[in-house]
Amino acid sequence: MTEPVYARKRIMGNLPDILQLLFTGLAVGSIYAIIAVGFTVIFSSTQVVNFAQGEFVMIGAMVSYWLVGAEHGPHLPLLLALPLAVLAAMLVGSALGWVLMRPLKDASVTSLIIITVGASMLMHGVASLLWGKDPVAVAPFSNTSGYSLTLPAALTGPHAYPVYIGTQELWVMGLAALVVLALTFFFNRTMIGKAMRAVSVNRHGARLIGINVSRVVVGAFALSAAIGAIAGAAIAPISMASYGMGTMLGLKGFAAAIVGGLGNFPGSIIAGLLLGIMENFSATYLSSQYKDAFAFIILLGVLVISPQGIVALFRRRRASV
Amino acid sequence: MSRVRPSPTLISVLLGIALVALAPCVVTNSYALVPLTFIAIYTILVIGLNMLMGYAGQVSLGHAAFFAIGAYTSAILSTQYGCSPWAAMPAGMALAGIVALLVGMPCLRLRGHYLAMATLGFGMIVYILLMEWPDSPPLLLATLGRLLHLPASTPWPFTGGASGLPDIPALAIGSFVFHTNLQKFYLTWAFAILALLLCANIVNSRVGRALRAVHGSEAAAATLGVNIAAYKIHVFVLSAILAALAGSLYAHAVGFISPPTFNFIRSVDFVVMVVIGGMASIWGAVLGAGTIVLLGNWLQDVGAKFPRLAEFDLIIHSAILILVMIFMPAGIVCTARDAVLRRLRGRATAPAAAAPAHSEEVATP
Amino acid sequence: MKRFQVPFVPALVVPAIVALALAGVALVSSTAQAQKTAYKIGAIFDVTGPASPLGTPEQETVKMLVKQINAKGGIDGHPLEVVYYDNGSDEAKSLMAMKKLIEADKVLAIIGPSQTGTTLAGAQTVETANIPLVSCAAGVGIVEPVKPWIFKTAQSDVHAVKKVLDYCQAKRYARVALITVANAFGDSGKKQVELQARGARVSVVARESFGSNDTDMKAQLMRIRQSNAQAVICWGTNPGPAIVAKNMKELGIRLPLLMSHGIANRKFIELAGPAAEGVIFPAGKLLIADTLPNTDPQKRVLQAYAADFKKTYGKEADTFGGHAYDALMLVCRALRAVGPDKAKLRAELEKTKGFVGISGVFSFSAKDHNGLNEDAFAMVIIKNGDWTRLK
Repeated sequence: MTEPVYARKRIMGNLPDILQLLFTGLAVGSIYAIIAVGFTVIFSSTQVVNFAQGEFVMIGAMVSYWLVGAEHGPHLPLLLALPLAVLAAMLVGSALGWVLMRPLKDASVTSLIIITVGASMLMHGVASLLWGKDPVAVAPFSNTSGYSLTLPAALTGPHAYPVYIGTQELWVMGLAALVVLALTFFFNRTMIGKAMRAVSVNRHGARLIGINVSRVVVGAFALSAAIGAIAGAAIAPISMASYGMGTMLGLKGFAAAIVGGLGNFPGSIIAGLLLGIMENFSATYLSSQYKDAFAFIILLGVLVISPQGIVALFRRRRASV
Repeated sequence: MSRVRPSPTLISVLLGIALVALAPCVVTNSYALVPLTFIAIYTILVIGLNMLMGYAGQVSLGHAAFFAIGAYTSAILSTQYGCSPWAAMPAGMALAGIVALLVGMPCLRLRGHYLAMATLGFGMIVYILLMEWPDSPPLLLATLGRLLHLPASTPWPFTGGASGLPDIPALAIGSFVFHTNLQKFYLTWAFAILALLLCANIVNSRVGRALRAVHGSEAAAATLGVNIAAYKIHVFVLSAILAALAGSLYAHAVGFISPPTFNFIRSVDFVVMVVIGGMASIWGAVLGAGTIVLLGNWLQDVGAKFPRLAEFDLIIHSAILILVMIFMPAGIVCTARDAVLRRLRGRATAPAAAAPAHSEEVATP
Repeated sequence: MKRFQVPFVPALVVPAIVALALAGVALVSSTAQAQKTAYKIGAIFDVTGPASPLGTPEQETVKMLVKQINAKGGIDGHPLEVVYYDNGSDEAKSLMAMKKLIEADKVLAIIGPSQTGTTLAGAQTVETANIPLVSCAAGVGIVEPVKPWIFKTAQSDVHAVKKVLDYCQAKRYARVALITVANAFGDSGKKQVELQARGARVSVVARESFGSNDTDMKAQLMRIRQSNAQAVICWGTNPGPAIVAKNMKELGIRLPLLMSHGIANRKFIELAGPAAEGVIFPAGKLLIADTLPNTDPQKRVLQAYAADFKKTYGKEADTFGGHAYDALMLVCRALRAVGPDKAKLRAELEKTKGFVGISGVFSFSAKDHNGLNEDAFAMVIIKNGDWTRLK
């Protein structure tokens, strides 16, 4: 066993490497963040943890693949395909929300969660029939593949590697930022967004002041599906798309949602980004074998230290100062 | 609701024993005993999980991890250290219990579904450990070994990684080995009935009453002096121990284990079994495990007869799951019981009584 | 709401009973017509679940071949009947299917399953039931130590790794970095590389791992970049290796990239795109059938299978289907030789010498139940989006 210890020493303090890890970490983290936000939207309005969230990601990826690149597909331009993929996911999402309406009134939250598990399996099954079981390649949004940035030698010392800035990664981050901005606007400025917030605070109160809670619930599912689909379409060119891609992404997003404090909108974004970055750093500096475990170790740690999420932790610190 | 007087636990247990004893007379095809054996194994795990969900009001999304701890401890001790499986089994249960205590302690002191989240993370970590163990095992253990000045040749346990552990011996008493389908059937059901009895007893005891109080209203229970956190932890540890027992039985019955059997999907499967059967109902555990295993078995048969349908396996499975949950959100046992009660008492009083939210009464009239 | 509860149960049960009844009728009517008694064998494949990309072409291949065999009059006039079970890539279900095939369907032999785990879960059952099983999975654990009744047709990693390390030795790469997928395939490859490395005078200077659904492997590759490796060996199945190839190009790592037979399909080139250029891997000869010399005994078999599969299913045949081809043909050959007797079938299978199949030329013995050597593989490089044989 010749563990390359010297390698680890050399990496330490190596600026280009750190920047590279930060960049790819942020890209993956943006995806976790958007998925976590999707969890949050549904959780706040229904208290349901939607285990089909990852499948929305898959739908976004597979539909946009089929519309743009599939052999027997319609070969639409991306600009048209992306909204259509989001629309498809929204339809599926609203259907799920609608299905949940009836049991939402009297069933326990656990059985509602089981329904989302069933829905996730259903989408899995249908997707594998529609698009086959093999992973597919998805064309990136723009043709330029990426830029290699060489940092000045004064900063890095000799023989430093350039930092690779992928165009698709930039798209992912941009879209994530756009989603966050749009959601902020939606929840603060639009009527239905405010109604959703009202429902999340107090469902009965919201009903009393005349908010149609059923419509809000269906709306939350549609919105969450749309967010997931954007994440899926954006990550697919990097990760490839397949009918099973949603499960792990969904779980990581869920971990982020919890680390951020379930139901906490800014918390889940911060946690998603942090998780992506930490995962990347741990894979390089600790061990890639246990890379996937780190997200969940962080999850356990946060639950022990600050169950309300990391944001609550900072808030408490500030309050105690 | 109406109350039936004679001790129902005793009657149902006797009935259960009779059913199990007679089953092989009815089920003449010995291959049909195989799914029944798996039902027994899953039942053991699902009863524990059912108590956790039904009485302590907590969900575990990582019970496959305790299932794995039981299975791997049993397999490793009996194949690599020449331990008797009968000694390996309680070792796995003890380990699972200790781990459950460590995981459950911080989460169960809080209100809310923190245990679900913690167990989800815990389950993923155990799964990854099983996958990656052989390569860099001993990072932790090697340090331990160095601290204890153990020789470098210490035979550390290995999990076989993603390739799994083959050749696990079957359980045996003396020279009598539980080999055939029938022998394994009786063996696993003996354990299942013991586990059912144990849980039925707990539910009917003082602990059970406290648990039901916790489930009814935590605040009220606390005022009455019930130490809620302690009870929840007890139930969680019990469920982990039962899961490890089930895992151990699985390992010795199948003879081969590998990580995919213990992944997140499996944890969800167990929760599904509980909810389908009916929470806070010990017999719901049997029904839930039975429904899922037999459904999978039946779909496999249908797929063999109509190969085209095999592709729809997942779709049919999930569609049935969703429909059951929409139309019987309280699970099969409770819904069926409510339906029967409604028939018995006529339609006049039905609507209020059939509300599925209160299902504590099933096991303890 | 309550009105729905009671009729719901019958609504489920009635179609179930109807379906079962139909199933019974269909089975009876299909067996009634045969003149000579049919030879019945069982097939278990991982048609659904995570391993479905393996199981699906395998089942398709067997279905196609059974039609061909029966169109030509079956085996000595006995029609061939295959009972298919899907195990959903699940070990418990795999075991259940094996028990059914043995005890309910009373088959003469079993082919499949597709994965090492799903195969080994039934190993004890098959051994005690004394029924020959020819697995389509790759893991060495299936045939080492030899289990009398269990054979396998997929090339073992032993040979693939040997081929790759031979190549390293020829190119004088003394230090290699290893990056493997975290599943049974990657695990087996990693163990073999570590095992054989010393013999090939190669040292493994970095060991990295990635999850089968990971989106990005740059972090692992940066570690490899920092090691002083002269070549990278990546062991995995799609889509992971394609991402590894892409990320290596992106990070500007110019080390030679060696991969496994897990990427021996058109899909990899499609997924990795231009990054696939220059990737070197050991492939079964199916990929390069057309470029084989005419003297190669496998050439005709390979071309016929590839053409038939393309004609029947409209897509390209792949090596997984080839494993099922070999399994079925080996069993049929034994059936033709000794007739419907399990013990004789097993003995005949073990005596197989020089059987020309898709995965190679099989010669079984009491000590070797895989029957292949490293000649089953050819080293191939990807050039201009196609495979070229290295020599």
